[in-house]
Amino acid sequence: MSLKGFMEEAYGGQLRGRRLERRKGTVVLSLKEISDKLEGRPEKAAVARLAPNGALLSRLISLVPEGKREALIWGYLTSIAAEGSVEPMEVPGGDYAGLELARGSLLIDSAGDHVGEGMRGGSIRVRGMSGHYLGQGMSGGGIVAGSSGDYAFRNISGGWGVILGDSGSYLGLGNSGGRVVVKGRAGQRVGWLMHSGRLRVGGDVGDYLGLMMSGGRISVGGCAGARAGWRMRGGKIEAACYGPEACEDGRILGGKDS
Amino acid sequence: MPDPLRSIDSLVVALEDLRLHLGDKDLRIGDHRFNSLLYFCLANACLRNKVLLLYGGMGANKTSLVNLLGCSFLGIPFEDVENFMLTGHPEQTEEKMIGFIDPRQWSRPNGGEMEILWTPWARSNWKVINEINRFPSGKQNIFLELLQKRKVTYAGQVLTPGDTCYFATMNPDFSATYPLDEALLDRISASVPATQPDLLCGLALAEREREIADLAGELPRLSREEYYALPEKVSDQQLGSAVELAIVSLVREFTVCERAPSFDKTELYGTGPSRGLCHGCHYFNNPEVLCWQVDQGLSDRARQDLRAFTRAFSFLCRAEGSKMDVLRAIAPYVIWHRVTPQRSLFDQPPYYGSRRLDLVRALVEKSIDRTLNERGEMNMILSRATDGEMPLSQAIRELEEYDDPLARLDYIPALERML
Repeated sequence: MSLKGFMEEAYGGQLRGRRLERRKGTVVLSLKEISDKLEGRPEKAAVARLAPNGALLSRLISLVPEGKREALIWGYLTSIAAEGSVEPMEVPGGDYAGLELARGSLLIDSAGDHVGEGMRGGSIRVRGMSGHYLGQGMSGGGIVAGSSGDYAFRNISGGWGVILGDSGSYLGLGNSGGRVVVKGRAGQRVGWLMHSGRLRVGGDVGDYLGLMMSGGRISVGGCAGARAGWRMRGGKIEAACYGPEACEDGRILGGKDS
Repeated sequence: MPDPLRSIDSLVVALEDLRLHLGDKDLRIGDHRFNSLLYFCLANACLRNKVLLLYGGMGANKTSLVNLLGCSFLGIPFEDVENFMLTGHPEQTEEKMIGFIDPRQWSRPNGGEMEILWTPWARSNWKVINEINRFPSGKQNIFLELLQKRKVTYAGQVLTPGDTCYFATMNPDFSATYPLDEALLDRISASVPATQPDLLCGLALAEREREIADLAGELPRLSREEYYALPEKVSDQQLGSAVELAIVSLVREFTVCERAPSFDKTELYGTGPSRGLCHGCHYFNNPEVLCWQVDQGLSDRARQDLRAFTRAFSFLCRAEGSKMDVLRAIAPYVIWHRVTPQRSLFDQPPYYGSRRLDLVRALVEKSIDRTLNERGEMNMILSRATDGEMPLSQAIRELEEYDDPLARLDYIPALERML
């Protein structure tokens, strides 16, 4: 048999050819290696270029990052893994999980700070408590968490969030869109500097509800603390009852001093 | 016609029923799973003049298993098979191992042809070298001449036991062991790890009340015709062009090196990827390329052993159609003892400096996938040029566009020699 005949028999007419990928220097086995290869603040695209596939990526996610830089890289890796996974991706709790997530799902037992920060799509489910800055700056997607620390859903422009328990202070600070529901109580300054979007708190909230807000709508199932709607310029606030010095310019929809 | 496969099947069942060998079915071929230790021993017993190394800690049923199989394949008592075993220690000599000149002949009145008293080990065609790494390095050289051979020579006399099955066992490095020489390792056709039984196997083995030697008598025996028919049955297995191509490409991919003499890593002395040879090389750190990931190249013996064991397993597993699954499963065991992984890669997770077989398995998968899925075009260019259907210079120009080490370091130099 000629060599050509041998090759044709070997490939059975299914010839495929791909040039070798030039991936020089892309073997990374630790978060530090990725960190060393990146200049400046890590960005998702740069991390994605260096991220390994399959078992190695899972192994990197199982590592504990050292310092904020590695934590950012770790967060991007969780998003990259979730985006490439058909099934919901289970990751250990840590800061920046689901950072800039665009699609896919993450499952976390108990999360650290900055979970779902800057996310644009997909979903994150935190079974237990989450730390501060949950969903900060998100523009799409959704987060469900058992509870949250301070600054949850800060500066969001889209997407949705559900807190099944209580939330800390500064919920929805500076929001310009999105919808947030807290089934339990929330701390002070909920909806501070809010421009638009919706906030719903099932229980009581602390002082300065809707402080200096200019748009959007806040609904509180329980009582608001002192100075609700203080210096607000627009938007609506509704609560079952209000503490002293609540705004009196007609934007309060519910009862007052009840 | 003898049907040795049926006897082998009943032997496998009997070994489990009598609690003589139990182990994890860690070798996956297609949809079937097998115990790698047992099936590599069976495969080696079906082949001739190949050497199987059983590697593992103490008491992992290495020597007993080989002796039990010898008892069944040769149809002789267990005690007799134990005579075919040579155990390594520093005081072993060629005279103790192979034979010695009969001193009585010098007191006879009429001298005749010199007589050698051959040892049972030398005379047998089922040779077991127990604890091979307990032979000092110099004495290991004796095996370079013996292994994979049909005859034994001593003092100018030749003994021809014929086609032989060779088995060797060894422990990991202990205080009284010696490292095995690379040339000796290359003569070992395949190496299979022997692990300790897990909890369930341990409980099952605890049910064994009788001595192994007693139970060995109850094992099914292969008839003499069946035993001698085995090599022919194995050689009847056809591998197919794709498997043959995958084997050759695999061996070449481990062997080529841009910086080695003649692009051949087996020519390297005192240097290698772990010693900085690849620093600054175009291919270094590219995970798709194998050359920098192992220190040694593979010899043509590796190719022969890959073919032999693929055939033997195809026979044992009754594999039909393409034998690619068989090759994928067995190739790591044929290669892993012959190569040393690049140190910095091997020390990292998920290999932790100890999972050499896993690393080699990943490399083998990568190479076979690459040959099957990505080397089609360049292989056709090479074959068309070789068959004269395409100008050599044009083929070289086209192959230069491929960044594959095989194209650059094997195909193009071959075509240049034909110009």
